[in-house]
Amino acid sequence: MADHVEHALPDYRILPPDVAARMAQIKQRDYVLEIDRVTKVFTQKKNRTVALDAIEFGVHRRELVCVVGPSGCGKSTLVRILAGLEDATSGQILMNGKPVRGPGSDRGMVFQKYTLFPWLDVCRNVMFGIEMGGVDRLEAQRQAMQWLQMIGLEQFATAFPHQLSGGMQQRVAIARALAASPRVLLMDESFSALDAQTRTKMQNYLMEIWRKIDITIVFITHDLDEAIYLADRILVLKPNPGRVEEVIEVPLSRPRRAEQMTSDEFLATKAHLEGLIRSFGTSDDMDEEDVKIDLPLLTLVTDQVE
Amino acid sequence: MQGFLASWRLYGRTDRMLRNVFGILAVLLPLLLWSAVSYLPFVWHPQVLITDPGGEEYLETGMRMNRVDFLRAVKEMQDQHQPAPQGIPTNPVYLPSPGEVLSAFVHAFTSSAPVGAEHSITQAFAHSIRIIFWGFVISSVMGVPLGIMCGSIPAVARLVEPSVDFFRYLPAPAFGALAVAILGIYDAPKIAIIVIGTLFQQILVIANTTRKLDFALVEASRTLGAKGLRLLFRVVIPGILPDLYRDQRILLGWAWTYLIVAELIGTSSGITWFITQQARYQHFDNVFAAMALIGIVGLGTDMVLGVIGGKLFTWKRENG
Ligand SMILES: Nc1ncnc2c1ncn2[C@@H]1O[C@H](COP(=O)(O)OP(=O)(O)O)[C@@H](O)[C@H]1O
Ligand SMILES: [Mg+2]
Repeated sequence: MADHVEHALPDYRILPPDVAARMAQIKQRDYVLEIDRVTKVFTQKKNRTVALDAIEFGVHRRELVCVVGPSGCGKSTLVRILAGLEDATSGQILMNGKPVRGPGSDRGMVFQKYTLFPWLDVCRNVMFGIEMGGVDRLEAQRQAMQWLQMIGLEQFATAFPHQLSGGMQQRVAIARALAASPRVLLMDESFSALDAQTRTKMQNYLMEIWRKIDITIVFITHDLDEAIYLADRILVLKPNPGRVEEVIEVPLSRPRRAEQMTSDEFLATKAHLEGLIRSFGTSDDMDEEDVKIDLPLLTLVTDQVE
Repeated sequence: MQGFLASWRLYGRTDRMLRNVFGILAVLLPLLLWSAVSYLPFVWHPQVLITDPGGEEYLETGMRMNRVDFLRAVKEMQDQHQPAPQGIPTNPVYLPSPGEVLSAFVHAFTSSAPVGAEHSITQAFAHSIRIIFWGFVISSVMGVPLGIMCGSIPAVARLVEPSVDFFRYLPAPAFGALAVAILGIYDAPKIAIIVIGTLFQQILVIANTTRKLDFALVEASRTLGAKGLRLLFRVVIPGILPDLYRDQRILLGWAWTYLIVAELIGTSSGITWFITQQARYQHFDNVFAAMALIGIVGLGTDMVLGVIGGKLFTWKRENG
């Protein structure tokens, strides 16, 4: 413990040479998705909530961007606007330079909730987006089976969603979204309902898939480890109103491995992010040290537990 | 025994055997009660069925009278040293015994003597079922699509629901005279009453069911490129189908309640007419047999529909 404190962490802004090279390469690519001064105001009766205030950001092709921030800072609102499920109060979203109107198959989404169609079996679920793209049924089925092979669930093709575990359902949901061949995959805390072990597996699955196909990912999470582990860049939002606080370039080389989570660069980035989130001063589940629980003593005094 | 107690607790557990036991008891207990009242003279039997009028002039064999009056008649005759009237304790004529009803029921299906809805349960009932069937089909053809549209298209909901809500509160009988004036006196106005009674509820109930579809599924399908009719037919309708089916089952029961009104307007017909006529002749065994038939057919249809629904919508049942 003591030598942990003595050991000074490096500056998280210093990128190792291979990461710096990769970052430079990414930045040369065009923006796939641009957030152009997006503001979102919710008005409920007399309550006016500024969920997002003039957000400005661009996502490069084949980049993996994570968005973090305390709950209520507008992460979900942002990703819903990106998906076209919600309209911005002002500003716009540009997809390959063209403004988007409403949801479309160029932006796939994986939700936090399990949203597989419960009346369709796994294969039919994956076929859904392909068929919506005008592909005939046989061809759609062939493609869907390929996707299922890719996520290792081909033996569950005829199972129904309620027969699958949460992790499997989210894997199918990812396959379903990708099968519709979107340019961008939006994920809103898609792994947060999973247990820690499954979650790590899913993170590796996601990066594996992302390496293999031409897809750009915007991943919302409030788990800092997850964000650092996955992202090329992390967009940190601050709450009330939701604004861009900082954009962090993650100083970790690829391919990512679980061992990197104890590296100095990882810890430095995490320490910085924790400091940022704490400075927002919201009562969030992330700064649990500040929570003092005042409980009356409920055990018998003779029951010594510590 | 423990399982038996547990099944009485709030949200307690029951096993399959106990469920069957309770299911059988549910039928058996009312029948036992009815039999006890019918066959055990000391339970109720407030009247006396005269078997021999004795010396009393105003009595006749087969008459029923209250026990007090009978005892008074007996006492009077004894005082006048005339033969006392004889009788056996019995229930009022409006409560026939299970045996009598059963034989009336069997008779209805075996004998072929009298014809016409006034005399034959089966003919009367067949007519009633035709009315219900057409009423429900016509109502559903309009109500189901309209309900789904109200539930999924805000503009349609705004346009349609207020007037539907208005008509819903007008009791269907209020339309009786109007229906006869417009549609004549035979089956058409009867079907119209069933339609009026069912349709407005149907639109609102199905609109609500449609609204309760998990919106996340709609959003997910939108991000997969579904919109318009394909969204409707590939997501909305399959998603609500199990609940829609359940609604239709409930609404079918609803349609039955309007049958009484429907059958009494214009030329009376069907099972209602049969029951009123038989009651007028005091053939209460026939009345009860007809009622039993309605109940059995209703319960039977619903059970069959329930089993079919369970088979069709396995994904819903196992989702909870
Ligand atoms: N439909 C809505 N109506 C009103 N306020 C909303 C709505 N959706 C979100 N908000 C508000 O906008 C803010 C951001 O919400 P959200 O995007 O869900 O945050 P996050 O996903 O980061 O936790 C919150 O203050 C929330 O109360
Ligand atoms: Mg959220």
